[in-house]
Amino acid sequence: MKKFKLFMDIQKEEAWLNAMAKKGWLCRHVSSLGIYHFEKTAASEQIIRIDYQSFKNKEAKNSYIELYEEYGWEHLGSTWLHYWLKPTDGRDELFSDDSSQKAYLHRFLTYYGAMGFFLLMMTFSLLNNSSPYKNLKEAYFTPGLWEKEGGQFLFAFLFETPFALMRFGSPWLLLVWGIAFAIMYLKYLNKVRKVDKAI
Amino acid sequence: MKKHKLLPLTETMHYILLAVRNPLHGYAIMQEVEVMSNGQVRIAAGTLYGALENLLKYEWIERLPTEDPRRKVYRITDEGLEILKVEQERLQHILSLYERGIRDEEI
Repeated sequence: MKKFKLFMDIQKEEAWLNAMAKKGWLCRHVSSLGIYHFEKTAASEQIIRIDYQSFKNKEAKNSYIELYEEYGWEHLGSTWLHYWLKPTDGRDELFSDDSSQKAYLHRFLTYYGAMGFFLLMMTFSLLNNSSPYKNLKEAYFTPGLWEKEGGQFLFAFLFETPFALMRFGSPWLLLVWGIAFAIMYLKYLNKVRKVDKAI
Repeated sequence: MKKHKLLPLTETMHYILLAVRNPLHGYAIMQEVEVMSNGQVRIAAGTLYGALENLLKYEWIERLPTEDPRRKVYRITDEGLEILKVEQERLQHILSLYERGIRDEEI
């Protein structure tokens, strides 16, 4: 079974994959586009962990994957994230001390922050630059469209509507995405602070 | 010596540096640390990877060339040994405080 599901929160994604495994649907592969390939299994004593790393070069990535494989983790694939699978044996975490756990959360914090900032900056620069986004009428670029009449108008109007909606909608879509990332940033900031307090 | 970002060493870093005084490959470091700590410290994969990258960055350990390029072997550098010496002095001082006990006369 192939499935696509969009997650903002990585910890929720991980919990969902493990809940699927409990139900007998084990994720065996994640494509680079983020499509999960599930297999029906009887034995479900498996754990999935999601990791996020950035690498200087290909060699660093290889030594990362080799080291995890030596530990018995199976690489299910990677998007910007890495998906790992292992039979449960009591050593089911990727991180064993506070500072590496905190560094893990910090990597997500940087990612969410950078994405949120980038998307919001894009939104504002689009909104500042031109007017098709404030008035839907101005998102239609066909010359003299509003002076046309009858069938001619209807045809031109309907023809351009999908493009106009894309033009009109794109900054608002970016804004929604940007806000979603900003919310995740604050959520993970809170998580990092909790770890800080616990140390 | 100026205080380094990684000092004082965490338990994980301490054990890894002590273990790689002999050349070891990645997974063997984890096994050696487990033995050295009487089973108390089990370094997880992500923690070991991050620690090795960090130690390589500051050149406290180095990657040794091997015949099998897939098998990465690590060893402590002279700089790493210096760090261990600094940490040893710090811990010895703390131990001496333990051994001195509580001085009754000052209470």
